[in-house]
Amino acid sequence: MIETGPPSEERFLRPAGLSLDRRQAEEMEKILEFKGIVKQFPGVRALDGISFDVARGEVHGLVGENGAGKSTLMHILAGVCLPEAGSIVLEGREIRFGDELAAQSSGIGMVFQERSLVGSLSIAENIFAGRQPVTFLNWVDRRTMNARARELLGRVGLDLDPSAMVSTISAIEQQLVEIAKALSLNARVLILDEPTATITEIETQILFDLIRDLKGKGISIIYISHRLEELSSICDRVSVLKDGVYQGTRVMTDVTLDEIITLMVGRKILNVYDDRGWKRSGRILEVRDLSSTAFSGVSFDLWKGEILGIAGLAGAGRTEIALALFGADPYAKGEVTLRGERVHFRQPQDAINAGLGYLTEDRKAAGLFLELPVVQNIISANLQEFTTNGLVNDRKANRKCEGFVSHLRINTPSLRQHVMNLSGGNQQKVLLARWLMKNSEILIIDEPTRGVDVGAKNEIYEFIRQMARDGTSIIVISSELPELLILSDRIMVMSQGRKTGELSHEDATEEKLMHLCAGIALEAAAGQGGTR
Amino acid sequence: MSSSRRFSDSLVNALINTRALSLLVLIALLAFVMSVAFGGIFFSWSNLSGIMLNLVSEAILAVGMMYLIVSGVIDLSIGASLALGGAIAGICLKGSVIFGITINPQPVPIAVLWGLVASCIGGLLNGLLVARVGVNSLIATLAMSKIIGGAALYIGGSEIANLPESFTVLSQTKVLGFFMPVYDMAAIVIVAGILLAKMRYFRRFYFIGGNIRSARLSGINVTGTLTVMFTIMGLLAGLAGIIFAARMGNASGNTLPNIELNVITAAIIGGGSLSGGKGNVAGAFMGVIFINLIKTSMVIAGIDIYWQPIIVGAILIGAVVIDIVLQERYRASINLRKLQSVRRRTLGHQA
Repeated sequence: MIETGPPSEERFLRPAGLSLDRRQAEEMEKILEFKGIVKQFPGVRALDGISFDVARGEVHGLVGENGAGKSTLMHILAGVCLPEAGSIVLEGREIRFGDELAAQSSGIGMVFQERSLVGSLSIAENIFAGRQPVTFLNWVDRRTMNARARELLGRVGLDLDPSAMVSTISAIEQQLVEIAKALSLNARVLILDEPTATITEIETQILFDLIRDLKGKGISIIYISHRLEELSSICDRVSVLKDGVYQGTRVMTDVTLDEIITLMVGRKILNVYDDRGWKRSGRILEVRDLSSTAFSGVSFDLWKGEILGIAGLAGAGRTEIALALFGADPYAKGEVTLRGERVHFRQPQDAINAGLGYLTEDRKAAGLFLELPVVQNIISANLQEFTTNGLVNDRKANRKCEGFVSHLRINTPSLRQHVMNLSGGNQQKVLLARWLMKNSEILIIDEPTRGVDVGAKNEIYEFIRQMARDGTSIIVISSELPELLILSDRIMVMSQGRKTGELSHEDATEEKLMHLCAGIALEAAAGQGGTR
Repeated sequence: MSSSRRFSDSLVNALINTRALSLLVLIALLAFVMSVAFGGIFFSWSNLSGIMLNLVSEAILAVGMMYLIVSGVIDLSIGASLALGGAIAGICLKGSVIFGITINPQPVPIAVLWGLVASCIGGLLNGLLVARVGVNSLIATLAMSKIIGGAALYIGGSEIANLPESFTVLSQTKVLGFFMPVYDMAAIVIVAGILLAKMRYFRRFYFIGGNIRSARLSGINVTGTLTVMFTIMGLLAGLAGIIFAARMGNASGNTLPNIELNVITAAIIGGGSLSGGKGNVAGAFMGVIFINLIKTSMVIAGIDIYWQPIIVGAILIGAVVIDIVLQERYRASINLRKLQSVRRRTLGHQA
């Protein structure tokens, strides 16, 4: 369990008078310094003379849109790739570039976005991958290994059996195990790349408690995230990159999110609910008492042209409901009525034919054909439209796709570009184009902007609204509450497989949604709020 | 509540992880049924000894194959390596002229050594192709199986007969009711099994098969380890070939054709997964025994020989399907646990 007792709270809450001001920040001991890092890729200058420093025991945010150069910079730091110019100084000593092992042993720990653990091995063995403590003849000493792993797990606030298989623990637990692994290498600078991308908001708090704890022990953390709202609650300073150029470092207490966003994108972004004057009319979908192994007794309606948000923690059953409606997963019980007609889709093909679309949360694994060109990805759900006498009419497909590419402002050199070479935002737009072309009546969009940069995010919001204006009914599933608040006309909340509430956009606030997500009824929450 | 869940978790765990145990139960059941039905024919020392002797080659190869499968790679050239090892040893024993070089008859240890060296070189080449050049292991070893197989045929021809007694004695001696190869096999299986389970170097295989990128980032020398692993596979194949040649008293360029597919079948039935990261030597060994026991039982029961491959194929599919079903049920149980753990943390956090 994470320690959240009063002492640590006091240490880490930052009342106004105690906050870190600019002068103090400058006085802090530098542990890591980037000096004029330049990295050239064919045709692009990925990094153009990046210089900034990280202090000991600091949480240093690193932000920028996709393609701004954050990952490249971190890869250079971790010894994965070589820069053309510049140097990095860690604790007074210059880092030798291009040597991952040297970087690790000099105290740089990476926790990558994608999980790096092996599911069929024990937690302890994963922590000590390749460095398991051994007795004579290099035999793995399980007892020592487990004992040391238990101690490391304790340091990250996990009370787990070190001999348990990694595949039996949850996403947040795996993430914490990864951090334990970095700590086992005696990391003094920890790079967290999008640590909250796959965990829920409450789990994020657990992670933040740990980050504050590590920080108190003098470990510096470079924190990369697309979720800007997290920065103010966890970072001391934040550095901004844009198109490979360093935009500046700001002390978090001196800066507003709007200013950071302006630095990142060079323009203001309106993140507000768009009142497009939608009126409830024409119920298109009725779901009654839907139950499966992952959820039970869920009922809701969907109206024409409505955007319905579904909120909940990971594992609340949101995606499972979508998959059940879409015929990809079976459901045990319940009624689904589409345009007044009882339906029960047993396979996605039937659902698609009936006018449903599902845009997956995991675009790489379940959405895109990464090795295929943009055009093939867009038409993959509409092949019959472009088929004459059993042959695909490429010219027709290209013409149609060009329209979508320019309409959605998909940034790709050509229609023949392989989708894996596009940025996250553009990949997501390719998926949107696929379903836009399909012209579904009901579109379920699962995590519409996961791993997508701010600029593309707002474009995607606009396209979703446009679709709704054109009469498509949309269900948006998201772990980001602000996103739901911006998009949804109505928000339904799930917790542990049950529907715990439904709020209209006028009533919905982040706080109320959070409580419902955690399975706490609103009245109780109100009472609790009063005593705080 | 949590303790009962832990228990059911560990029960599922046990079912999934101890394929060797469940196979052992099946083997015991089958043996029991056969003994009741056919009594003395089946339940005799000579039958047991015969069954064990017949599966020696497959079992030795299955050990190496399991190493590879755990690491997420595969080797289709082991049948050819086996033939090459036997052929080279045979040629060295008898003396011959190959590639224009006259080879005088060599003493047994030298001949055995050359056989092993030859098949190690084959394995090493596999390893270099896969680990250093980056060729997919299926393709690399498929190509190498042609090359090694061709070399074995060229060297060994259709048969190198009448190998000297000083050599055949290695496999034709009977000790305590079993021929020597059975002991060789037992030693290899036990040692290899312990190494994979206990030794740090061999534990690397699981990381490489489970997540090759993360293995690299964890400081594991993936290239070197894979190269060594393929070389070990070659060594084991050569060893199996020499033991087999000594048992038969002759060697040839195409001993035991298609044995690699039988070995892969056994390894998968024994709990390996072609996506890597799981499996152990005991499982592979039990897989070999299980398949061979089924085949022998069918012969004893007088079932038409053509049924054999059909049944073996069905068992392979059955094993994989059971795996899928178990994994699914297992995942569902984790999902359940995940919800609970989130809740626990939530409440703890708010307190």
